[in-house]
Amino acid sequence: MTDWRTWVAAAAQRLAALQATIIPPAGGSRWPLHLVIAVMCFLASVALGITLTVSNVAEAWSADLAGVITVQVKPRPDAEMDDQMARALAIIRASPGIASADRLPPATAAELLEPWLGSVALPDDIAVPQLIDVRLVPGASPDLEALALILSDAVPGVEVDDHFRWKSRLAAFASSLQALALAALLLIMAATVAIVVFATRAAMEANRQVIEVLHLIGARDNFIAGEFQTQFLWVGLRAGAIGAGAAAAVLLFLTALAGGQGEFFLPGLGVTWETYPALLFVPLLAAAVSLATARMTALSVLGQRL
Amino acid sequence: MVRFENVGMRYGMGPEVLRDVSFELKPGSLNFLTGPSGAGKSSLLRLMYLAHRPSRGHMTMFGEDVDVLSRKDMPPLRRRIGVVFQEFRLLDHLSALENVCLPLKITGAPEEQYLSDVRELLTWVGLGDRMNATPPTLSGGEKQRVAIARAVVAQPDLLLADEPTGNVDPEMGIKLLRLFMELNRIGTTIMIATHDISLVERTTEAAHYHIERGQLSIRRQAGGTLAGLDAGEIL
Repeated sequence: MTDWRTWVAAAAQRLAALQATIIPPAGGSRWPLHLVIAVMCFLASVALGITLTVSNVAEAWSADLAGVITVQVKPRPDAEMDDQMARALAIIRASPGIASADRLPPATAAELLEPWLGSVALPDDIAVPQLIDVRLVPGASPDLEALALILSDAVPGVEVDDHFRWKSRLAAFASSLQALALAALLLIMAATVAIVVFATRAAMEANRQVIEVLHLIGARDNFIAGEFQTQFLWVGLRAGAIGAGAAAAVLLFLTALAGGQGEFFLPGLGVTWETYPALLFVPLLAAAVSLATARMTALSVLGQRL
Repeated sequence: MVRFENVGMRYGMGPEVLRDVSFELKPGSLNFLTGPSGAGKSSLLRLMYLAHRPSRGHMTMFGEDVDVLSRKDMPPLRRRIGVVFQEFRLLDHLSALENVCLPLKITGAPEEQYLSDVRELLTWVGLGDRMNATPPTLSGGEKQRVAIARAVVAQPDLLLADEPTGNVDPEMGIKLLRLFMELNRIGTTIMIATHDISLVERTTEAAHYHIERGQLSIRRQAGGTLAGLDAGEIL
């Protein structure tokens, strides 16, 4: 027990030594600065989490639809449905690149229509289009336009749906959301830079006397800027960790929420476990942005002095 | 070592506080600068410790022309100058030991390389038991000695002291003067600005400069030692 405590004490001492600077941190302005950067990191983490989730979901949905086409056979008064289906199936199965083609059982088709028409059985005299579920050979890219032409010539009232329109809309939606999240990330980063510039200038003003003494004893600008960059590196790391941690908690809560009712409307929507390690990137980015900004600001201010 | 030729200085757009100042400090010399308050003593020292540039005239430090020196060339020159500021300018959040270590720390030298020397120096100036005290808890004389230790720890070629005895009692003033004398004996060029004329009268051969309304006059040439003091009897 004592060894464990000694080790913790030594580690804390080493950590304190790493954070120690000659220039004292501006006391009163420290916690508001932590709070503001933590809020920025929280927003950035949520934006990042949503972006990654949308990407994953869009990818999963696209993958589900890839390699699948649906052929719809509409009933016609001048033809028997079974005859139409048999001809269509024969043509499809004979085409290159097709792994399987199966008529969707009427019960499955009814299930698909249930959200719109309800669970009441349809009267037998209502003609409902029949569907053929076609699976493509993995990796193959058959000429679906040619297949559609052949089918429509041979079997009137046939439509081939390769889900391209749905997939392209899904891709556009995912891209828009990603662009929005990226814009939010950039805005948050710009705001963080502005905050750190302001805080560095305030810290330098508060420590004007200390900086002057350091200059007069021969300290180079790099040394003095290094003092400020060390301070802001740790502010960025600490505040970033708090913000990202809070965001992870919120995303967990939202995922739990989506796991309930949300799954019905948007299946697969929820933050996956692979997303959480990416949130570690936020405090590191906050630290890097804080460090670089503080350094550049300090060097710029020092450059105006003798 | 230090050469001024017709140097003038003003703060911003204000009036000239130094006018046509010309003098030269020889290496290893002991020099006094006297004058009433507001005469320009501190301004002259500010030029010498490179906190300000002259507004006219020509100034060289250690053979370098200060007028054309770039900012990045300043730190190496400043490291050759030790300064005892009138108001000490110690960093209140650091201990006496850390304050004295500063001139060595900024050079990037590892702490273990100089820590024992700094402790020895602080003991030498009589602060062996006050090393971990912070400036706000030190007396005026103790602060003055910490400031002097910080000024000499990196063994500067030139030591500038602005009213070093202004904040201490006469007895401590004599002790500090002995310290400067010892440093001068080992080759450090020293310039002491003071309005305490009795301090200057203790010397027989040290150079004596006097400044009045921004104009410098030389009252005695350089090349002496302090009279009436035993150099071996430090503190």
